[in-house]
Amino acid sequence: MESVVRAFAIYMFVLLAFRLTGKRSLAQITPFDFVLLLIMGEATQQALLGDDFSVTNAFLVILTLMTLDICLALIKGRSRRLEKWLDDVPLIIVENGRPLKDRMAKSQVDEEDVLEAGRRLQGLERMEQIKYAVLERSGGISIIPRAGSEVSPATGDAGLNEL
Amino acid sequence: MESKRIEINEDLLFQRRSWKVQRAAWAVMALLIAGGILGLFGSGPLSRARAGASGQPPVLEYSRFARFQASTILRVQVQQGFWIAAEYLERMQIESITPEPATTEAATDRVSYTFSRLEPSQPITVTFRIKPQHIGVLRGRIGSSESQTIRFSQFVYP
Repeated sequence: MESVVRAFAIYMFVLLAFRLTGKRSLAQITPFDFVLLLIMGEATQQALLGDDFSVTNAFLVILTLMTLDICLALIKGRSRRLEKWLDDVPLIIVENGRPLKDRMAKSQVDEEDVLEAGRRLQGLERMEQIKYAVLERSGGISIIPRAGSEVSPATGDAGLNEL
Repeated sequence: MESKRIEINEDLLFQRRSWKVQRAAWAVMALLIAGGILGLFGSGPLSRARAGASGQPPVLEYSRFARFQASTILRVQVQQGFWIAAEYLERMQIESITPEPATTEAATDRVSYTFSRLEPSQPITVTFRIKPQHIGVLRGRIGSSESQTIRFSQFVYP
């Protein structure tokens, strides 16, 4: 019984912790975020297994986690409200080249993050080329360029030839 | 809000509420960490406790808060041999007793320890390293022939 309770408790706690620390921690953009996720994995491992290293215990823990995942997926399908609480909602942070500062501050996203996404995803150079920037539920940023601004990232030329 | 041509499942009301909940949660986290540092969850100033008449053996040093299957220390200062309640020991795994007892005698409700003495007139300190095997409140009793029973209780976190 202990294995199931441990797995359940730890899953819920980590889920809650991630939802409460804010979206960006999931996006793994910087070494800072990556280290956090890596170490958290290590911290939970011991707590999940306790001092029981039998195969049976591992099976029970894995089964419990998968069952929880399925249950939550089913519940999310049924209840819009619960889906919002569990998964979050997307948020527009730049509109027509103008960053929405209040939203960005509350979401802990700065303009450099948006510009970086613009460069990486669309090969954009300036904020004004962005029609919409959306902070997705995953913590990543999606960019919709203004018509006429799209440049393929592979061929985009940053104008360094002049050097 | 102006109409947008972008189809998106935005919900500003929910978002603002979310942000408030997050801020509150951060305050709770800070409190929990402060508690952890102070020893609310074991090992720290809030957790260290003594029982027994001060200055006069037997004196017991123990942790008010312990954690499941994590070592904790029980220190007893005695003049002679002493006993510990059996129901307390049953809920523990004893990792070590320093110094090792000369004799260990069991009765229905207690286990009695005696020690070989170099200086029989001086009190000695015995250190138990133990791991709780049960979660929740643990009540223990320690006593010796010369004194009243010392009662103590610990809370074991899961």
